[in-house]
Amino acid sequence: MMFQLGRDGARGSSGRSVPLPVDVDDQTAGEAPDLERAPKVGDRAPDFLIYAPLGDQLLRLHELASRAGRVVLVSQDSYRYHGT
Amino acid sequence: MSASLKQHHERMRLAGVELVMIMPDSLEQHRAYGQALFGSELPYLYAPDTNRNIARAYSLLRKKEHHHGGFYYRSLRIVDRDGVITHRALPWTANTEVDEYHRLFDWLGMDRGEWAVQCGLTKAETEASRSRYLVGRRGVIDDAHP
Repeated sequence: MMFQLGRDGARGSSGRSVPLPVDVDDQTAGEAPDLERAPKVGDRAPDFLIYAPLGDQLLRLHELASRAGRVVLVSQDSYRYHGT
Repeated sequence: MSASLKQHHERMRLAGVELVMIMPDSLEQHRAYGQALFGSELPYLYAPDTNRNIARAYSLLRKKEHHHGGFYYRSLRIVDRDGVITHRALPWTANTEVDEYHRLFDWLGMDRGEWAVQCGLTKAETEASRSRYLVGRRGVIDDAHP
């Protein structure tokens, strides 16, 4: 994994700017989000693998949905970019 | 937002709802973050999208880097028993707007939850924990990202 320095960086306790790493080799930087093509209400959700906490159990989204009845999917960026 | 969702996760499970967090961090990073900030692993299910395949499938990638860094949109979707999306918020601004956070519970037909910023930790404790987490990961910085 290659990294380059973040654009803004963080401000350290010493007052100096501390750059944060940003992925540059994942081919996603600058990729345009296409909200029209994003799966929307009524579409079948694209399937993917999910990990359970406190163990390495794997299951697929559709399997989980079938079992649970309702699944909430929340996405957010890396923990390095936000607080709690 | 992790704190709020952690706080309300059990209530959602009791209502028959499973919560899955999708992020570009690895499973190990996800676990380390929970331990650093809350002293335990975060209880909800996790989908590590380290290769961004889920982000591409769900159109979660920003055109331009966020000014705080990163390319992932916050988003919310609810999927029913048949795997069909019944609700969508893209982007989902629940980290800054309480009404947006409450929308999740409205859609689920549940009582609204309290929007928790720090989940019992003081701001100083949160920042100190996060700093330790970041330093532990990279070993190069002396403060957390604002």
